[in-house]
Amino acid sequence: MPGTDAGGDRGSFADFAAWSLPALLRFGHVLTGSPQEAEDLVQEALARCLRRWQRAAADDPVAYVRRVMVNAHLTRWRRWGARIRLGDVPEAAADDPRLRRSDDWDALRRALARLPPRQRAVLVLRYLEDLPDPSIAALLDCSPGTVRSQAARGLAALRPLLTATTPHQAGGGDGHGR
Amino acid sequence: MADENQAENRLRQLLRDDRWSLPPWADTQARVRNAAHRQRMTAAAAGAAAAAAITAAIVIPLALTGAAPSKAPAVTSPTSAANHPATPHRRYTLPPVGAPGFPAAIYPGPRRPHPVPNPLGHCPAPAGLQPFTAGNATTARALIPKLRRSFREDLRLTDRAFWPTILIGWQQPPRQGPAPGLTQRERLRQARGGHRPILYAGPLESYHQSEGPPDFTRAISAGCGTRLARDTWMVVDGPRTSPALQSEWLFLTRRGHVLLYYNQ
Repeated sequence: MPGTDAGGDRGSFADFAAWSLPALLRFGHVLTGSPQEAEDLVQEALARCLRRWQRAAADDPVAYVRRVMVNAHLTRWRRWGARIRLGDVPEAAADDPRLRRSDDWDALRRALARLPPRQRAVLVLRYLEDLPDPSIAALLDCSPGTVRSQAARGLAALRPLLTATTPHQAGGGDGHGR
Repeated sequence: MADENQAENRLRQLLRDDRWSLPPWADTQARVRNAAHRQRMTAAAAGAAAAAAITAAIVIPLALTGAAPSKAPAVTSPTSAANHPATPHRRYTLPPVGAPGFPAAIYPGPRRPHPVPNPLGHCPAPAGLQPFTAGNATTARALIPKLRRSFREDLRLTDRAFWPTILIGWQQPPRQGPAPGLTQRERLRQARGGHRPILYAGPLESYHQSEGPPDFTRAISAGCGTRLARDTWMVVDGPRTSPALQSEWLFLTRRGHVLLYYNQ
């Protein structure tokens, strides 16, 4: 996601939306695991940003939209996600040997779907957005210690998947990575 | 520790995989604008419901205790234009039906809309509605810049169906500075007090929004009746290059008086 120093014309919401959309969609996709949900989330967050553009633009619109997305996702999940998401739960755990044979990215996607949404949000904010723990804590309205423990638990849940790959496999991921 | 770093790096790598990317939208502005419309409608409906509840809480005890409506706190006078909505501690109240200056024939009580998705919290009463004329169209356009000068003037220029929104608007602090998202030229024009360009002025039923929903004609027909939709005059203004900042104004004519009944 474009960082807060990434530039862009802060005066125009249209420019901001066009400039930040790809990264917001990617963030939403990783956060929710669903392209449709990601699009909904980005749309609603950008709309809210538009309605409060003066305030958001004066500060950090990317951070504002990101915060709205995370909070909306967690709220939505609390309301009805637990029921809806039953279909997303992978059939096997991340440490299931069968998953190691499948594509790493797909395995991660499935493993992330098993994590509690808050834990997943912490991982995404920490390892995709590279936000420091205090910023994540402020965004999620919890303490940095909670962020660290959530990240540790999430990482532990994914560890079998992340350490099982051979150097060759890990390098192979670059074909899709940055 | 090395394992920890390896796992973290691998996670970073996988989270940055291009397969998480989604194709950007071709219609970003329209999508966001429509979503903002929906959000505003929801907020306005909630606000109108709250205002109605507050009004009921004030009016019903007054009625029960026999207090005359005309003794309700006076609204701002037309000379109080300098008293912008920002005026702290000011209390605005809506005059009851038939109050002096607001004859019931021109300002009848609003109706409840049908329970369908509808941008209007209340429907204008159908009594006295007339088809729009060319002369009224000019009046409608001239009405827009007269708004937000005084509370009472706003009430005079609008239908009762819109009064809850007016009330909320005057109870909230004003927005400072230029509207967001304007081009430099538009900002300058706004700073000089210039008007917003009119993008459409015509019958509601003839307006074809180029960027999808909301379909006002259908929504208003379903919520408040086809007659209102048929007799509505619509004006759309704002920066052509920023659809998200454009406004829709809906007008009716009742017994020769042009009244705004919806704005977004």
